Amino acid sequence: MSLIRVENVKKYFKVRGSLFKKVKAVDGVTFMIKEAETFGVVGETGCGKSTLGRVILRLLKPTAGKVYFMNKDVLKLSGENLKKFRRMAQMVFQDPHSSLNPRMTILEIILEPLKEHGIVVDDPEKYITEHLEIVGLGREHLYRYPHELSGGQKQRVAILRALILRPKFIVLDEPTSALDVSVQAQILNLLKDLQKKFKASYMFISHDLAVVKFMSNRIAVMYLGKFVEIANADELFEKPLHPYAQVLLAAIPIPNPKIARERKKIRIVGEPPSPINPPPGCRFHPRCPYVMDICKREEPPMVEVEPGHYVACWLYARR
Amino acid sequence: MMAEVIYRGFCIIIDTIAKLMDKIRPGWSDRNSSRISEWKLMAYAYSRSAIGIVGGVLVSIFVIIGIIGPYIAFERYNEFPASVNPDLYFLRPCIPPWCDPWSENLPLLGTDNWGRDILSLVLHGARISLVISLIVVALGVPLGIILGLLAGYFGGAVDEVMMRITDVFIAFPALILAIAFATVLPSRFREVLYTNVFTREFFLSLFALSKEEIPQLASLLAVIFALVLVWWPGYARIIRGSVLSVKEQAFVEAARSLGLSTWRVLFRHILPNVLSPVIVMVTFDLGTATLLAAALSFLGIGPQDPVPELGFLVSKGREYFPDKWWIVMFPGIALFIIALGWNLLGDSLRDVLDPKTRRSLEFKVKGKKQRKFKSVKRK
Repeated sequence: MSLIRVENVKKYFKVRGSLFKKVKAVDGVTFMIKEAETFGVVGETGCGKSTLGRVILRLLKPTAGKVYFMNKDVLKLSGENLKKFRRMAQMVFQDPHSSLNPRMTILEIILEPLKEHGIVVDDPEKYITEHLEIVGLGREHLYRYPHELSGGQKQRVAILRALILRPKFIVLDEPTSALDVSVQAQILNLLKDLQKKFKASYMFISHDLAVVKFMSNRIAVMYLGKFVEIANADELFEKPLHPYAQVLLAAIPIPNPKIARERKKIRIVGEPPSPINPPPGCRFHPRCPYVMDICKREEPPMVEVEPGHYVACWLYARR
Repeated sequence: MMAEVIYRGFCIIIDTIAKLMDKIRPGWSDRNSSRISEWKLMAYAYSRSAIGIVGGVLVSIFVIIGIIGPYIAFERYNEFPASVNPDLYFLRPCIPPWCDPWSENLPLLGTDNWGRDILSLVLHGARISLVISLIVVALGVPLGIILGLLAGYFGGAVDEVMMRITDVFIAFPALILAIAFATVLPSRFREVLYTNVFTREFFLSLFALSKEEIPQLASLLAVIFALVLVWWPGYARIIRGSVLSVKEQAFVEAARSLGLSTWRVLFRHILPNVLSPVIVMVTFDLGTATLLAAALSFLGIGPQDPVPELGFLVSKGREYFPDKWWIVMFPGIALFIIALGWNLLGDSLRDVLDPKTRRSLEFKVKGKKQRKFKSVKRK
């Protein structure tokens, strides 16, 4: 059963000083997330990954499209139902240094969601300490301020704040990209353990392919506000279909030079076009090595090539 | 040496507060050990800044005089000794090294055209100036903060409308606006003061004036009101600017994704993070408000005789200036000291309250010798 269903969501931002220009950050994305799975979203900077995450959590209002959470229209929720949704869907942000209020102690930060949702705990100190231990912190951190913690510790606090309400769904917006590599591994393992423990679904947003592969069951590749390919993690890495996905995966460095030399080389030129004025037809066509005439005219539909493996490319679609 | 003594003094005060809080709520100092060590660091940073100490001393002298001044002044401002004894007109000041006020029985700072003792007038004037600056800041600043918060957080049309109004207030010369208000308002205030006993007694005791001065009190209040009206725009702008940057930070979004109401987000998450520049600004503004109020009185808009408002004393002494210089000089010096004190204090507070300079100071100290800012050892 699907926990989250996203249908043709679009989010355009107005461009300052212009009446008609719009940044098409997310431009028609459809997918669903199952219960207790991790759905990875990869793409380069500025392709709309984070915006998508925020739209799903209703932190931003989409320009068009629908988001369903447990078969309820998220955008139509209000009052008590909205509060329930807020309790069940949480977010962990990219930069742990700015995601904690510098004027509150760790105890206050973690207690706040409980208070807000009217959950009464007998002994907050003990309750929070127990939870701090789950994420690898301890009693001694209760009355510290965020600036007294390291980046990794802050991210643990942020994760705990998201988890304390036992949500069903968490958007992880590049939770490790501000941390150094050894801490990244710890946090990723922690997230995996917590998922087993609390049975939450993750939407894992990242530009780091290795991290996404490690975390996700299914992965979507995003380019300029659109998904170009959705597949199971292993399948995507073994057999990427969309040229952009191929290029992206080819960019992963391989430690063994022999294998690296044998690897099929695909290169693309140029930079991603501006999302204000995306190219007509397939958005990837100006940079695509396999570009055909139809790519410049018509947008490719998302087709299911194999069960569970979707790709939006004219190479695979029937015209 | 001096700095060390001051720092120790602050530490004793902080520890006493911690102990007291511990008695009220057991475990308080344990829970707030981070905060306490931060306070001590602030005390340390403050004790190392010479201008801060000078400013602090000047300001505390002013505040103390402002509080007890009217009671230690040995002559009332509304008694006119010269009408009894004409010799008391324009007595020269008798300042110790050159003249001994005790043996010669002369006033320390001279007398004015009615034979009133200038020292007593200045002591009383300090109270009036203190109260004016406090009320102006206490009303104007929260007003500016709230408007700035709303404009910054909601943005869009709210922001546009509020900021344009603010622009109008800023574009209009503050002094002229204040003059306009201060000329129109007194009659309204007078009515209120005559009818409402509580308000009247409250303000009379606040300014330590007697009942005959109700019309003067009304114009004093008009000055205050006018200053409040021109005071908030600066704060509204500063706060709006800080809110714009703070509201984009992830912890605000996190608070919203937790389902916190707009008010909770505004007052629990945004407000505490935009207040630090305000504290410094308030310190400067207490000085500026005193000066501006004095300027209004100097221009004849504030209270009239016999109220010893410092600016008004200066303006009155102007007539006799080159010969009877003391009437202008001593109230002027008092104003100068008040403004200087607040400004020096504000200057050092800016450094003390900025976590970055404070932190660098902490590291500098740690390099030289280990100093413990921690009050309680963590378990």
